[in-house]
Amino acid sequence: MEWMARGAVIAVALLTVAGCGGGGGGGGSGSIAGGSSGSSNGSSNGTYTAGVFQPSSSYANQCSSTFTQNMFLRSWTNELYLWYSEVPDRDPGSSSTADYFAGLKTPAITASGRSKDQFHFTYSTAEWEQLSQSGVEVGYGAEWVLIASTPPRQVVVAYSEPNTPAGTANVPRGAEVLLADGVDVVNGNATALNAAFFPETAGETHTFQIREANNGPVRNISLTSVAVTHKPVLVSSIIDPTGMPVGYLLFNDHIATAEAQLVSAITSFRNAGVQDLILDLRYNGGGYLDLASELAYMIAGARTAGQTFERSVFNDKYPNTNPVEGGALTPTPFWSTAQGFSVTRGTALPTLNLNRVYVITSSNTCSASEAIINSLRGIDVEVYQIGSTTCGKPYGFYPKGNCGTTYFSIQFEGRNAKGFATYPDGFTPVNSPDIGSVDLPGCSVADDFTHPLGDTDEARLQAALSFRASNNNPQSCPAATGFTPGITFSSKMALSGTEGEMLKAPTRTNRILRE
Amino acid sequence: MRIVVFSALVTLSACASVASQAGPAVLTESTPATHAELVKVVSTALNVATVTIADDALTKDSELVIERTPIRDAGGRRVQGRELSQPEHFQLIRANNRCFLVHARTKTEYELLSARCRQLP
Repeated sequence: MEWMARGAVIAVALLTVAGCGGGGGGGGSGSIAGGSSGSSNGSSNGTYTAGVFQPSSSYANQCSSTFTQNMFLRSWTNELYLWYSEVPDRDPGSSSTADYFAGLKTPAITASGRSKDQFHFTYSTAEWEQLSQSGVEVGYGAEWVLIASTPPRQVVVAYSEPNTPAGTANVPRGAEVLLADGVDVVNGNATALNAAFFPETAGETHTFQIREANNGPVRNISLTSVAVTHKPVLVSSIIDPTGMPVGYLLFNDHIATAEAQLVSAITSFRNAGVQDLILDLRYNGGGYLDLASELAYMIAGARTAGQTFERSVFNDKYPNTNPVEGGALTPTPFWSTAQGFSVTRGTALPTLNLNRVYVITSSNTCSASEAIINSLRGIDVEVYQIGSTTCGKPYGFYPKGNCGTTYFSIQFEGRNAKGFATYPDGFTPVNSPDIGSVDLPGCSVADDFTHPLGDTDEARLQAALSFRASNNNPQSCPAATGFTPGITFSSKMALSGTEGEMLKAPTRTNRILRE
Repeated sequence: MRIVVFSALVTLSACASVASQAGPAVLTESTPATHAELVKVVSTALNVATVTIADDALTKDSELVIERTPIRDAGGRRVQGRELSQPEHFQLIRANNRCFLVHARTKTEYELLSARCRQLP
């Protein structure tokens, strides 16, 4: 994948800062500000000799030559790529920088036949460095699920958040979008559809025709984009079917504002004496790893004491040091206090002290969300999985900018307390047909767009409750269902039997609907 | 390459020690002018061209948290699913009947000249 630069934006601030305060906005360690382009002035034309690598710094920011940009990437990969020894050493004078970078990864495949490295891509640095208020994105407040991205397309609504244009217009979960700005979603022009689904700026008005789930009514609506403030913990409820209260938590995004919402939810669960937790991560693609650690502590409590949540492991050149940040490699613990995202740093976190948890998953459950599962398994918390196979991303990056492009190349994997990180094909319920994944006890159940999230009749939540009520008996699972790659969907297919990819307000250069 | 130049419409006062005399505050109203000033101040503090901020920012809470705009892949998943950086924090405070935005990491204080705010109890 490559998203091309749309033109660098240079802002020349002429603001007068009548200064008697502290320093400016320089990039301190760990800060998001300050850019990723680096400032090395290394200068070297160099020559290519197979198997011989000069320091990447000697080629950094030499943008006038494709050769030097390729040499930079070649050396940087050799220094930091997790599987550097598996990368074929190609002549950097042989191709464009985009093509050359695309080849700077392992050609190996996993047990399921997927590429071992599925996370190798670039963005324009200007795009990568954009900043926002936590949880704020331009959109309508509706999250789309793409059942099929190419004709015949199918797009449905995963959920609408309250107090947003979509929420106010009562756009319900499961509604299928038939028309956007009068363009047929199934076969129409992708450019026009992308413009409607993913507004670039606030204040854009677009029209949609939707059909509600269960062959419900068809409605025409008009939505005007705003800077939506997402609520990452969208549902927090207590279900008490048998006098044994169960907490249900729909956690959609590891963003800063989630910290306070998670603390609030877990506190209410603890005060209600919940006996179990159903953690719904089906739409959670990750984010701040420290938040994942905090939530894992809030689930498992005392048994996390002194344990590793996750340990980053780099390539074999750096067994003991972090090659990017410097310093000794130290594991991330299970944080028992807030890390200051939206709760005062050091505040003691609540915990449920559970020895088991039910996790609802999908292919959108990724990275930091998978780290919750893996870390809890690392300390022998029983994790039951309801839903479908997770994305399989035990890896991380330190993105690197060079000549206006920021490169993502896998540099570390996150291992749990038992040293386990081998889930490149994801975690999957044991009765799923998916091969190569790590089997967990639970039930394979497709996403159910015919019921609201948090509704005990929603198929995945219902299966979790039934599984728990049966004392985790696999016989209680409904017939195995789930995502089947390559399936062709039609408008006549029951939405309750489908699963698609979640689309959360991608940037406009990330075109989603295709011809 | 497109060059965007914006001129100074406001004067930012970064004055030491007002925080010690003041308390957390919220905006009493959010106007286009206030929002524009807020965007400009935060962008300046973080040395970026612009930043996306909600229209009602700082009207309910004195804290403003800024993080990298999430970029997602074709499947809707964050490309940076294991984020190791920390967000930036700002706090609105009121002192001497004036409103200041304090950047937590640098302790720099910026006066918001177009804003009206009230101190939280």
